[in-house]
Amino acid sequence: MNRVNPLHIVALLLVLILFLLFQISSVKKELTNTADSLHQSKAIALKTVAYKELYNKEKVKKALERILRQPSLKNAEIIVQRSKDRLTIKAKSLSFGTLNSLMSKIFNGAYTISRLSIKRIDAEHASLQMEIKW
Amino acid sequence: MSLTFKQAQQNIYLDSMTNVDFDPQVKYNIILSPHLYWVKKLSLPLKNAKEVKKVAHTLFEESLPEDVSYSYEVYKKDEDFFVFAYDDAQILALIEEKGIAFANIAAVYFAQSELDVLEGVYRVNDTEALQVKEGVVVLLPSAWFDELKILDIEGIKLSKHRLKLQHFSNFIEKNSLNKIMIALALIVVLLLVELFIYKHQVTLLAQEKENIFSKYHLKPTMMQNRAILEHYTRKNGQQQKLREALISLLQSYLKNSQKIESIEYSNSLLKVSISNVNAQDKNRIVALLHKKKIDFTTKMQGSNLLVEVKL
Repeated sequence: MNRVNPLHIVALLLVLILFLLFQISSVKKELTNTADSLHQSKAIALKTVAYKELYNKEKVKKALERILRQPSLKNAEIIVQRSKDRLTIKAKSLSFGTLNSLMSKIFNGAYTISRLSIKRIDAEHASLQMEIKW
Repeated sequence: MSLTFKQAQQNIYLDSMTNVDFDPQVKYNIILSPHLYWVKKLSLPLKNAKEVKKVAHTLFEESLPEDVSYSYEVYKKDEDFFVFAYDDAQILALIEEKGIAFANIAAVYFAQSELDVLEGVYRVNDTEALQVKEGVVVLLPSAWFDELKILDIEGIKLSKHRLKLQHFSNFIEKNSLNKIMIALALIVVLLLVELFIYKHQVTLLAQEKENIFSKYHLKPTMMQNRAILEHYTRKNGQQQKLREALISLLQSYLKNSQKIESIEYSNSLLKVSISNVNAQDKNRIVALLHKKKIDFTTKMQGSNLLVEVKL
């Protein structure tokens, strides 16, 4: 009758243990990598979503229109040019008060100023040329 | 044509007096002297040798010393079962003592299974003789007999009743080995469970990652997503710097005679021109900008100070 040598079983179990330890080590590494990747994805997703929300084209447009409709700018001779991806504000002469009010609102909002030119004309006025992209 | 290599084989009768001229080129079939085992010829109401083997230890309970761990073997011949008990360690020690390498052992047999067909009395060494009595091979003092036959050990046709010696019994007991096997098996189970848990966790994390991708409408690859985030970060950083630099310049305390003449910004370069600035005023403005940690350059254009900030 054939009898399996118990030492062979012990050796087989030891080999199996070594194999499993190796597998566990590999899976642990995979787990660490997956967890890192997940955290990175989460961080990237949250930041990207926050930025997308901040620089949302429609929101930026609406907010700019609201600023341009404010009463203090009604009497100012401001020329607004709208295109597909930008808005240009031009004024030959703005009082410092009006300019200050406009620029404060622009600086406090998430607008991408791509070009800006403010030139002093006299003691109370300045010219303005500003381009905002989205 | 097939090439096969068959190593020479030799039968030897093993007892304490056997002299072996060991040849590493030869494989040995060892026939154990009845000194090296206990045998019982029994007629039992059991079907086969396998069933008898399960109860073999009980058959020798009262006749074997208790301090030795024995192995058991059974075979059936005609209607009788031949049940053997033997001490692996004792046999292995004797084989080693005779200088036979374990690798050169072809097989090990009981004298009972190989010599039970002998008729008459055969000399096996100086003091002992073999005889088959009622089907059992027994050792008797050779002095009892006047005439003894010579045993032709090489001429014996070997049976299938081999025994496997357990080498481990030399250094470890069966019970301990069983305990070790159980412990190792438990470790294997634990490791399998651990492996399963880790793999499950990997799957869960991968699933969560997929959910994030679909929830936040991310691009399929992380490289694309990083590029998008990089674009926004750069854009936001530049706008923050523009605002900080302008606020710092506008908040610098200028004298009544000094005015900001122009502010120009394009292609990431901010230029601010301040009028009526002398060397002393310039130093004051420069010190202020340094304090605000703004990276800038200055140059004088007549009495105007031009501050350039690369964003």
